[in-house]
Parts: sequence; structure tokens; C-alpha cells
Amino acid sequence: MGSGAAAADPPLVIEGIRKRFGENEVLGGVSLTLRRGELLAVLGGNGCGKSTLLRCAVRLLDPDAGSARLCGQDLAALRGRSLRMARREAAVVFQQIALVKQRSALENVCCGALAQMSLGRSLSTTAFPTEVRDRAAMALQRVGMLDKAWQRAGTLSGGQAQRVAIARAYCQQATVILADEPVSALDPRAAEEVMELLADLAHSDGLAVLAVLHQPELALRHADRVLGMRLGAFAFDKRPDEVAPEEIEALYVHLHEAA
Amino acid sequence: MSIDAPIGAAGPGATATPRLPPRTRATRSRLIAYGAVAVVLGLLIFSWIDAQGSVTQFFDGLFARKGLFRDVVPHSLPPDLSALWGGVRAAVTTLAIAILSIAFGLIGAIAMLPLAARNITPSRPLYELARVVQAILRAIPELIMLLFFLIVFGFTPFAAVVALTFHGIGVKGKLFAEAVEEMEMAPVEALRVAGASRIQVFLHAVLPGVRNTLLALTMYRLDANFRSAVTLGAVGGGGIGFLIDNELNAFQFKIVCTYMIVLVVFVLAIERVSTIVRARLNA
Repeated sequence: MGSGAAAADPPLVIEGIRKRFGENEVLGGVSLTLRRGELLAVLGGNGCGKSTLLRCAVRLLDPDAGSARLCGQDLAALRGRSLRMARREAAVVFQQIALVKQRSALENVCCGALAQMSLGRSLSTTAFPTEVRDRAAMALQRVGMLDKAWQRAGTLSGGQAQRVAIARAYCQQATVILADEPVSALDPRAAEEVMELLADLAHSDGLAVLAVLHQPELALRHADRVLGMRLGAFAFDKRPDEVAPEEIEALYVHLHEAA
Repeated sequence: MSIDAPIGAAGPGATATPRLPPRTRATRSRLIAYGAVAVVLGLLIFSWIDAQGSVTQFFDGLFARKGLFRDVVPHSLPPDLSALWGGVRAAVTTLAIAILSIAFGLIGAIAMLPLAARNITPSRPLYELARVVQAILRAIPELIMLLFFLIVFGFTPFAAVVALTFHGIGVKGKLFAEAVEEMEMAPVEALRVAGASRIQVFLHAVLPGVRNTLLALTMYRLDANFRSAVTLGAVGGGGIGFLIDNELNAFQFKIVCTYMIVLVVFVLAIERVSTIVRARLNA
């Protein structure tokens, strides 16, 4: 997956990123490396900077300092079309369902490949190239949603919609999937299924997956690495079997005390 | 206080009637409120005088010997049905003006949308420019626009189409931009990150996301446009408005009555269609 200019480079390298909103420093110079075939779970209380980190990683937010290298390219140095082209190596799966509800699951998945289509072929969904439709069908099959291909996205359940959003990332042929609380709106069973799918995409397809989570038990069960965040800094970065329960507890207790 | 004690009876722990805290509303804000009422009253009195309001004139106009109900209405009945076909034909022209201007206005308003919605505009100055253009188009009444276009295009229904189109771009442009500003941004951000261009994001995330709202707003404007087209017709835009004006000037009240019946039937039918379509779009 992913063309990746420098295949040997880690897909996502974040170095010393700082971000401040007014007086509040949300990220205090954090660094991390995300490798291929790895599912990295980021845990932490509300407002600790998890989502800001994810948004800075793909320049949905501009960091005040530091850099984010996506497949070897420093996003801060890019503008316009070159930024768009570089950014397509990453796909974001949001907490709220980021599908166009009025369109079918297949059309939504096809939109993952928009950056690879000429303007003329992308003016209407009926003009999408056949190979994109085929790839979208494969992506839907990959997430177990092929039978819902023609169903309107607005009529899908939360878990199904999140699977379609992941299929769109797959169709995009992204190297990195950044999931911002992808299971927060799902029931436990659907959440388990979505996490299994993200782990499988990392392990079977070699994608690099970063998932911001609020469910420590899911992180410990599915992730290859767990990163704890507290007040804009990393508290720990360990394999799941190395994380002590009190370390996780401290991520949240600290915030309550600070409040 | 025991459970059986009557409500309000003083028990061992009971206190006297509680004293309300003093009202926090400052004298200044009360003075402002009185001042506002005085200003509104002053405006109403000024408007009445400036618009030459007259109670006597109002009742005379309606009920006097040469008034509406004792002179005009009796001379209008029964309606002259020989004018029915001509009235229907002219109303169809008025409807054509309304439909064309709605369609062109829809295209114009959508074309301005990528600039005029704050959450998708590429730059703040372009956003301000688009909003100013829309505000100007809204501010100039259709009737005044028509007077200019009659000079340019001559006395044809097309002049009314152009006038209504430009005014409609101003009105619909603002409504559409507000609809986009209130939409969910997650699908937009997802496609942006996927590397889609601004046009692609607009076509595949923004437009489909607000499509039903835009169509519902357009249908809502259709009957308003029809009524405006009638008015513009009376000053040279053609259609049924033009016929009504002509026959009124000739005191042909029975024919005017027929046209009014046609007009009411058309307006009610358009309102009904508009309501049905909007209900289906919102379903």
C-alpha cells in the first residue's frame, strides 16, 4: 500500500511538536515514530493533547514548532498541490462518522481515491474510473461491507459506517491511518470489531495505524504499543504487557487532581 | 416539623418568610429598556405621519359609496370567463419567469458558495467580497433592477427573468452559505486529508452534504418568485401581472376578477407543490 517516496523511512515521524491555544500549551514538544505494520494506541484524559497531536501530524492544524514527516516528506515545508499529494499517504478516521450520508457506501469509499483522479473524471461519481470502483469494491470486501455497497451511508449503523470510513482509507491506498477516537460512539461489540480490523490492517497489510482511544482495555488488547499522554507530554511509551494498571490510572487521576 | 404539620406551620427549625435578595437589575438597564420603548413608539408615530396614515381614509376606501366593497367588488362580479384562457396563458408565462429565474439563481448561488461560506472559503478577503456582492444584490429591490433591465432588454419577460435571477442570487446565496456553515465538517476534513482538491471536496463532500437543504430552500423561494414575477409583470415584465395592470387601467373589473382567480389558483398550486417536494426532501 502507498507509493511512499522513501519506503525505508518510517511512515510517520513526529519531532518536537509544540502547540499552544492562547495561554494553554496543549502539546509541549512531543516526538514519536510510527512504523509499518504497527498499531499504536494513544491513551490520555480529555484535553491532554491526543487529538491535537493527530491533527498536527497531517497539518489539519499547524504546529507552533517541530515537524511531522509523512513517508519522508516534511509537511511543514509543503504548500498547495504538493501538500495535498504528500498528505494522501495518510487517512484520518474520525470519531463522528465522516461519511456523506446522502451517498452510497461505495461512492463514499471511491472518494478516498479522489486525489488520484483527474478533475474531469472526478466531476461526478458516475464518471469515476472503473479501476477506482473495483478498488473500492475490494476495500469494502476487506472490511466485510461488500453487501452494503449500495446502501446509503446515512442508514448504516455506527459500526458499519466506521468500517466504511476505514474502507475509504484503504481505497485511498494510504500508508498511515490516523484514527481519532474511532470507537467512542460504538457499542462494545462494534468497538471490538473495529479495533480488530485496524489491528488486522496493520499486521496483514503492513499499514501504520495510530489510534487515539479512551478505552485502555481495547488499547492493551489490540495495540502493539501503547503511548500514555498527560498534559501535553508523553507519560510512557511501552508494549501493552509492560504497562502497569497504575500507570494508566495515573493518566486520568492526575487530570482530576489538576482540575 | 412533623410530617402531619400543615403546610406553612412553624416547627422547631422553621424560619420566618424568607427575604428575597434585592433585584440585581441595575437602574441603568431599566432606563435603557424604557428608552427603547420610547424610541419604538416615536418611530411608529413618525412612520404614521410620514406615510400619511389616515383612519378616515382607510374606512372610506373600503366602505364608502365609491369604496372597494360598494363600488369595485360589485362591478367585478360575475367574473368574465371569456378572459379565462388568456389569463391562464399569461400565468404560465409568469410561472416560466419564476422557474427560469429560480434555476439561474440556483446556479449563480451555488457558483458563489465556495467563496461565500466561512468554513470552506480559500481566503477571508474573497469571503468578504462574495458576501458584499450578495448583500448588494439583495439590497436592490427586484422592481428597481427590472427598471434598469427594461432599458437594456426592452419590455420582455426576459428582463424580469434577469432581474429576479440577480436578486435571487443575493437571497439564496446567503441562505446557502449559512447552510454550509452549519454542516458537519468531518466528511470535508476526511477528503481534505485524503488529498482531494478544493473543487473535489466541494463536489463530493460539501454539495452532497447540503443538497437537500439547498433544494428545499429553492422550492421555498419558488412561490415567492412567482408572486414577485406577477409584480414585475405589472411594470413591463409581461405575464399575468401585465394583463391585470392593463385591465385595471381600463376599469375592466370583471376581467380583472377572472385574472385574480387564476392568480390565486396558481399561487396555491405552487405552494402545495413546494410543500410536498420539501417534505420529501426532508424525509
